[in-house]
Amino acid sequence: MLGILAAGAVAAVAGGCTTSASGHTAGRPPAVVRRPRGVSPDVALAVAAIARIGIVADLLHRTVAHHRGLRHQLAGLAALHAAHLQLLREAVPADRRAAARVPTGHRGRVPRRQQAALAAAVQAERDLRPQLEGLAVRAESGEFARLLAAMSAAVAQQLAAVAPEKAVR
Amino acid sequence: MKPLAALQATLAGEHAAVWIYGVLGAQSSQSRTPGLFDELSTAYALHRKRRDQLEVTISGLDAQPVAAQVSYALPNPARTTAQLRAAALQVEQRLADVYGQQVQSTTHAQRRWAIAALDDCAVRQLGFGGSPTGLPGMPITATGG
Repeated sequence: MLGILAAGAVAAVAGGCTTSASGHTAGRPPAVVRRPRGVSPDVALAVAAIARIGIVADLLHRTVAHHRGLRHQLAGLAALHAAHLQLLREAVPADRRAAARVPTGHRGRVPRRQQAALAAAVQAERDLRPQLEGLAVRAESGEFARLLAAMSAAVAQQLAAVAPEKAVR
Repeated sequence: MKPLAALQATLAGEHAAVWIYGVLGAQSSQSRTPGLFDELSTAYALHRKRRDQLEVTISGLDAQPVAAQVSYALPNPARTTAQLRAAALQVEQRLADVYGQQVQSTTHAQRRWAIAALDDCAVRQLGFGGSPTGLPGMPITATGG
């Protein structure tokens, strides 16, 4: 859908990762390493963003599966999340990709009534925006902060189309 | 870009927005196109408020806020309703890029403020006929796909 690549921002995160293959310094046994070393804080933020967007994307997917009538209404948001997830995954180095998965156990129930399901999806999107913005504020790379802020703004635009009265803070 | 330079660039953008919205508002008709008139008036007030906030912020950094120019080039002749909407849309698109730069160049409260402004620019574009985009306020590189 996007046909774009926020190359600078992605490179800013991936390039900031200095993880070594061993994860520990020479002469020191792995057992004393308490956490992965050299992982850029922004990589951790990218992993967190993937998880948060992924949870909402999963809810949208299940919502549309239960309520086909919402398919067109939520198509823009679903495509947007897919594109954003792809961008973020490119920002995560290969050895951290296992962590960059959508967590299980966070699957909210899809309401049986269509309007309630739409309201739940919209609420999930509204909740996502401050989460992305919080990650943007914490980002060390300015380019990555801009990417996350742009993702939040894109969600805001889609929300304005889906639920205009709820789009503005 | 240094944080102060980003703030000054944002202020310059808001100076232009205030001036252009002033013209667009004067060119619109409250009786014939009340919806557009209200949107332009709301935008004008909001950008004037942001301009003032930026001047306070920059002054608080012991810097001289960049001054407004005498006049600015309008994006188009701004004679028809369509032209007024298109001009307003262009103002918001330009400002989204400016705020994106401020997000990139600042931290903490200044970055948070710029994020909120970027959100607002992105949504306001839709009211002036814009379409949702994948990454508002983000410089993009076409990949051909």
